[in-house]
Amino acid sequence: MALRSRGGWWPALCIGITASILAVYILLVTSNWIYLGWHDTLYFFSKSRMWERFWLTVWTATVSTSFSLFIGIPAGYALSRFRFPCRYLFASIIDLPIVVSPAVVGAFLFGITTRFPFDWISEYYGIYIGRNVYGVLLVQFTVTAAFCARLMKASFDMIPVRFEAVSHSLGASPLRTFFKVVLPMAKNGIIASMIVVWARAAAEWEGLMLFVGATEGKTDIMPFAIYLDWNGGMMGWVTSMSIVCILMAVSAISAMKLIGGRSNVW
Amino acid sequence: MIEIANLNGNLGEFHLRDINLKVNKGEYLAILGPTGAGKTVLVEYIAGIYKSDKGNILVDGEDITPLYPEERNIGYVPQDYALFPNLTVKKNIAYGLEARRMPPEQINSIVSEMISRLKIEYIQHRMPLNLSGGEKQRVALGRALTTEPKLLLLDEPLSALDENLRMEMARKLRQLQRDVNGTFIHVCHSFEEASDVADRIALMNDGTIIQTGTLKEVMEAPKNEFVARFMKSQNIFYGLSDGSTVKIGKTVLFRKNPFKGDVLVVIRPENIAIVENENNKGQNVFSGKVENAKRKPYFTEIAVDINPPFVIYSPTEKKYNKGDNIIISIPPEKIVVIEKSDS
Repeated sequence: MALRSRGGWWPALCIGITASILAVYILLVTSNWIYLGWHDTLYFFSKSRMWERFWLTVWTATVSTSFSLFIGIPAGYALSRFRFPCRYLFASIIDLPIVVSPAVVGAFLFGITTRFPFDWISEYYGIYIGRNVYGVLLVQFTVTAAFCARLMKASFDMIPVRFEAVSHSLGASPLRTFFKVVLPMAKNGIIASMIVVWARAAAEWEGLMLFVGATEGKTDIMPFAIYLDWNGGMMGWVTSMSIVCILMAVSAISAMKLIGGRSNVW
Repeated sequence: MIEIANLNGNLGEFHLRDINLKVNKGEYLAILGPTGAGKTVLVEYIAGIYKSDKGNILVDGEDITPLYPEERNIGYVPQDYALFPNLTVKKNIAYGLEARRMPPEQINSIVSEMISRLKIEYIQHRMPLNLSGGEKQRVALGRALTTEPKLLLLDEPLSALDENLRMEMARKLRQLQRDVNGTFIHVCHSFEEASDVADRIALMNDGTIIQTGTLKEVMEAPKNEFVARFMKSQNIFYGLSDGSTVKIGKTVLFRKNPFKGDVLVVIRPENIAIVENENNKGQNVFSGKVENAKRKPYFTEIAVDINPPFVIYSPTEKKYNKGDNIIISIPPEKIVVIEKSDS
């Protein structure tokens, strides 16, 4: 609901400040694009190095988001609906990766990958989780799983429990109720949350820097590659990849608002 | 038959206390009470949403207290109907049968019959979001009744409807209950609504059932002051009884009663008659002046300044003005005397 529009200096000041924020962002993007120039834009965008990194970012973020959803949906539902011992403690602990810097998550992961179950997975399945793409997935998953559970909780909180009560009264089991009633009703919230989680995974790099390190074409997802190219003084690559990141972010936010707007999660 | 014995429940801020209730098979019971009385909570306990601390719920002699809601076969229609927004009307109605893994042909046949019974063929393929209040109510009833529940719980099912539709839907609800010979518990907070649908009422307050009976029984013989006030008995006075008369204010009423000492006197306004013959000097005949007269749709509400002041309902079209002399007669059998300690 919007207030009736009116003139005067106060609305003008507020709108002016909003416009200036927008102007700063537009200036940031356009000035970098101008710095890069049309010719160089085409050059960098035509290089396979750019698109290899882009696809690495897309698929690792997609896989880690899938794992996060696999954990986040039941965890979010449990936090939203069930009363169990240490629920509040669990809810606080699950928030930790959101509050704690991803660098700390990366450092902690470094300490546990030599222990069970990671050493066991490495020994029996030959899957070493460390300075490779599995490491990227693990960092992205660790950083986003809790975030995902939080968002899922918000999605399930939006659904009144009466629907479940009615479903049960009609003879449906809790599992059937979850799949036939709760999940479809939470669909928009879940999709919107999934996009946010995906964007968060795609933007991760601090944890990666500590735990995985950079291997050209293997672990350097876009934000990480920007950092590495910056250190190497490759400003053309930095600018062009930044523009791709911004386009990815704008697409994710637009999709989130389009779907999430209907879900009332955002 | 549904029997609830000593049901107690603790929901933190709210307690359900010593609920005892019997509902006969095929009976329509209305649970009445003010907001916050615990009507919805009681219904939710019966549905199995909450686990009771003490007491039992028996359905046809079987103790269902430890059962989960999906094992109870008790239908539940909440206030907002809670139609599943992701399913069409037809799918909503079929939901309970699908949960029971019935063969599709059987589901189709039962659902079609229910849709036809409720006269909602024209909306069967629509989504719940696009339905009116009355349509939603019928779909919710259909969904609950297809599974042939042993008891149907209706939590304020008419509250979302406008006045005209409410009366019509109340009639249809009553008819439907008779058609299916179902046992219904209907939560509401107005006794007018209860009178439209119920065989019997149970009055609740503060987490417990205060009185049960037919509407007439409860109106004519309220158990305490709360019931009298809730049932809109407007003449409620504290008085002194000697066993054959009761003194309220400066008025002495002839009414034999088993109490001596402080009592509560309740007289329904419609039980006080206006005497046209000025020579009538019988028992419990008093004269006074009209203090206020308000014309209501079917009667006139008159306040008479006898000590204490009485409120009476006159069903005639006769107009009364402030200051008019009026003679009233109160039949002794219509005076309810309640021992004050019970009030």
